[in-house]
Amino acid sequence: MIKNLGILVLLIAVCALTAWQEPRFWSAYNVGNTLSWTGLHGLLALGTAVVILTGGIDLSVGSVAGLAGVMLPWTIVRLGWPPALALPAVLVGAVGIGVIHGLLITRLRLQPFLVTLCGLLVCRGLARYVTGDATIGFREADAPLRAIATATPFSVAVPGLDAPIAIPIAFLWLIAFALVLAIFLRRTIGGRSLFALGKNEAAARMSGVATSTWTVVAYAVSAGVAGFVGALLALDVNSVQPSTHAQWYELYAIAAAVLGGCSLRGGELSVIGVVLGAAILRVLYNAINILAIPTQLEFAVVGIVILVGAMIDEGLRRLTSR
Amino acid sequence: MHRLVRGALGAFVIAFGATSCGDRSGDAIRVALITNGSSDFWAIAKAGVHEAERTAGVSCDFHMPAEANAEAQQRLIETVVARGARALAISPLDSDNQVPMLDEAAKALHLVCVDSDAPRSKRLAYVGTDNVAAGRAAGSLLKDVLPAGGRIMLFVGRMDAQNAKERTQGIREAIAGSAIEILDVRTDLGDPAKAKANVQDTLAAHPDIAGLVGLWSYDGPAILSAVEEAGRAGKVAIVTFDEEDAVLAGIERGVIAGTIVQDPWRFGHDAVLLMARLARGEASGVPASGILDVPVRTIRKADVAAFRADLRQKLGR
Amino acid sequence: MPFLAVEGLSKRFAGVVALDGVSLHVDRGEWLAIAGENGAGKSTLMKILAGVETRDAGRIVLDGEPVALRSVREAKALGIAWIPQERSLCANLSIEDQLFLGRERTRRFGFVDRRGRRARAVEALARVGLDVPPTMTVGRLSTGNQQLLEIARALDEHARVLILDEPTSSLTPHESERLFAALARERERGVAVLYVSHRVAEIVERADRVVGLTDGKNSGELAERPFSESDVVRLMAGRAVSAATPTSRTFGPPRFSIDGLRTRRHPRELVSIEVRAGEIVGLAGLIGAGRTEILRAAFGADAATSGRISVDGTCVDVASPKAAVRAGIALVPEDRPADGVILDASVRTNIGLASLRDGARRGFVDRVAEKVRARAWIERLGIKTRSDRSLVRKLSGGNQQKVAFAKWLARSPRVLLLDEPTRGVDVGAKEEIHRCIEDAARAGAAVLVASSELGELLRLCDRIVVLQRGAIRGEFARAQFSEQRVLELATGAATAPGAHV
Repeated sequence: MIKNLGILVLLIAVCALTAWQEPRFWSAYNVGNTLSWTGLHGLLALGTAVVILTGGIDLSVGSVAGLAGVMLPWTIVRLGWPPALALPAVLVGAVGIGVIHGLLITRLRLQPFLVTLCGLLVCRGLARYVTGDATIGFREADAPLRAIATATPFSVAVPGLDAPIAIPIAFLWLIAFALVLAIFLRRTIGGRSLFALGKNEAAARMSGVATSTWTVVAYAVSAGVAGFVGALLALDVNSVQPSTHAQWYELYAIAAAVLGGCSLRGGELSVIGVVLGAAILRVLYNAINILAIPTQLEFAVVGIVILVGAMIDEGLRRLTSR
Repeated sequence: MHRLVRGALGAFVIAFGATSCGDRSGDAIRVALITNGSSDFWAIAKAGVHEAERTAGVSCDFHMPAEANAEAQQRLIETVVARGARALAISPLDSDNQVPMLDEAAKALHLVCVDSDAPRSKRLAYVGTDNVAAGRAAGSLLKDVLPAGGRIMLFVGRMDAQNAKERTQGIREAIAGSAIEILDVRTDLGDPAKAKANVQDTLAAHPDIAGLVGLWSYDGPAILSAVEEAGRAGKVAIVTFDEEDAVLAGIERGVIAGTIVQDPWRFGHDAVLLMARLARGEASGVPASGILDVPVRTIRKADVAAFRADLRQKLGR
Repeated sequence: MPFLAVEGLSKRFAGVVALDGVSLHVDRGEWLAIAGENGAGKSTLMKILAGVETRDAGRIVLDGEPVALRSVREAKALGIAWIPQERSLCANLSIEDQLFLGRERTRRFGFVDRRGRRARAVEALARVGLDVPPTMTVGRLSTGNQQLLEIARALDEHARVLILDEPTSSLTPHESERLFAALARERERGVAVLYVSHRVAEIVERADRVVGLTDGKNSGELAERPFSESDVVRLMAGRAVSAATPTSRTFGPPRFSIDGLRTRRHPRELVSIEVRAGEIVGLAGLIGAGRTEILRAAFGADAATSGRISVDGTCVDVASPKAAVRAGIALVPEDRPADGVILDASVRTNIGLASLRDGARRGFVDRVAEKVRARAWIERLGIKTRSDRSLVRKLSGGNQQKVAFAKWLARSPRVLLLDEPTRGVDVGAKEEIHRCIEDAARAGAAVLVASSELGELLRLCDRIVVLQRGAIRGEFARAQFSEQRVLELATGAATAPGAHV
């Protein structure tokens, strides 16, 4: 837990500072929105973190999300598939992309960076080609399906807030996935195998761990989650631009994962840390708008805060290792 | 699904170096059009391009850059020149800074601007809407729906695009002297999800906001979805540009006051006709001012049905 | 007055006392051995002298002058050179680049003085008796010659005190001889040698004097030659260690067989070995004889080009370690930090790693069993660790090796393959590891153990198979054991000079 302390302190600091400067930050509506975006980006970051845990990297998540976001409305609106078929098909397709990445990395021994970079390019290209680059949306037809991205199943009253927070479903997806992932990583053979191969692949293999299989699983999880997020994002915004849908989101995901304590060398993953990392990024973007900081400064502010976070983290680590 | 299969096949063909595509139209004069990104707007323009290809007997390469930046356009211009096009119509993303790049292209072929102008370059003509006039139309629509005035927020991808600057200028001109005040302009770099988050943050930070204006096409659906989810439909005046499906639906529901549409079909159509004339050496087609104006229209609830029918016919859907 | 004197040296890490008032001295041309078990403070002592760590208290006097020794740079400038056990060479560099790495002499404008450095490199190599071209890459040198190269570099930097940490742990007898010959010449020139080793025989043979360390304190001194092995062992352990005589075991039916195995390294040699239940068979041979390759191929860690592996008469397709593990084969590999243990995982995780499926239900690890198992094996093998959740990295080498053993013993393997099971392990831990190998055999495992330490094989094995260049040259039953004859076979009459360069 001490490992996540730095980032938690940073998150609370950013929230407190923003709320102090602009009380509307602390309104039910704004908190609800931030939770929703945290949900989507947190999911993406957790998926990516699983790959980072193995010592690999997945640069393709933004493009896989983009392709999934395009394929969902495309199959429903253009091909007329029922949503109950289209969504599973899109998810299976996304997982398939991850499996291909994993096989290329384990069987052909290609570098993860290269494989997933090519995945990034190929998926983005296919998304643009399939739609002829035209913006695509769900029109009016798919209200029930849109609910999985935009519903607010229940509200929570928080003292000091103007109204009960309507908890967005995207955030609930994140909580659910985080719980499943945490249990999987701590308690199951698969989770143990992922940690072991991330810390020392040779030693894990020499202990009879099926390192190749679990590496493929890691990439499949990452791509599958990316596909799901891409679909949610498409349903949420209801206007999918093939060339920009979820573009560069892999960078936010990697940043959130590393901010949350993942080492790019592998072998480390804290589910709570990654969720907090994603939350910080979203709160920052929100704070910049709420505080009317010029949007042009956005990247600069985000970059500086990530650096500060990393510094606090390293400082705490040195203190505790004494 | 066959498109996907064809896409994959195409990727493999390119990967194995068989890049020489068959020339569909034989010896027809080749011209090209480079957009500033991809959207329905350009899909409609493409229909106009196809129509003009038939009537003028030319072949037009239609390019939508993957990234909305000058570098992507630069690469496309190089491709167009290399493929031997005689004329090029382009919607420059950053007209002020792309002047050298445009002038370089103008040496190789007849250059025309479309949709967004670069008046300081050596382009021969500009086909498009006077974006200041379009901004003025949006401004007067705002004055109609907000007679008591109020504070409004503008949303756009990037403020360095000429059309963004001019539309903003037009809105300012139209609302000058009224009680409407522009609070700020929020940019999203072309990411619709970011556009939506910008709208949500505006609603959170400024509960008293009276109007929201989406300057680029996808900003309309982003505003619409954020406002409806916040339960503020009907309480905030929304004015948008262009005609995305979601926007037209929003107008019909009465959530969006109206949208300012250009006539992208005519952009594509007129640009190709103009290029055909230039390529054949007929200078007569170019007006003295160098500007071929395609006027804008304001689509309100009463106009939607007729507009949509017309659109469908042009898109052939 | 001694050349180097250390007085009352103390050092603590995070509250743990590593050195507590240690004093010793060494004269010019003297060879001082430092004996002690792992964790006795030898490494800390060496690191302080080399300037890697700073002391908390104590005086260090070199040539009559008190010295601060605050940095590696300072230690080097004073002529103190430390040759650590882990090689720190760059395999891709040429020998001469390695020699001058980081201290390049340049002419004007930063150009390297190529001719000058070539001559100097040849001279430095000759000084340690290393007859190789300076342009050869470091990676092609044998481990022993890499050791000599490091010493050559230290001497070229005008070392007056050489600190050697387990210099012979990975050398063949022949290479060790060369190393000692080179050191003897330097001793003549007045270089003082501080020597840390677990190899009691070497200490007895070479050292002028022995200082013992136990728990960070001086535990005695053998001030004058001659001293016996048991003297040294007593000094090391701080107690008398009885050399356990192997108790007899009964052999069962043939349990493990390697039949016509060809490895990638020696594709033309066929190797067949059979081990019976309860039998311990040794693989002897020089470095490069193919011991490791055979064990790794039999475990599925490297692909073999041909051959059949069977356990209890059933042919096993060892496509991967996973398949081998499933068939009841276990391998404690040679390179402990790389393959044997996960340094940054806990003792418990490491011990449980090969047994994740034991008692697992629907993919969920039985965490209670894992904890109980880990604690039981820590107890049984006497693994010295603060808790079962401590990182393996924090353990001494011997205890790390016990963890690597426990991982497999927890599965009661039918076949136990061991590659250098006691490398870099102190005397006490070595005894304990030998005992646990014997216990495994007594429980019915077929044990195949490779070691470059012949004494270990002679003491442990029921049978020794001698390899040379990937081929079996002979076999000895326990009654025929003779160090001389094993060595003759292992070196082979056909060995061309320089073959192991």
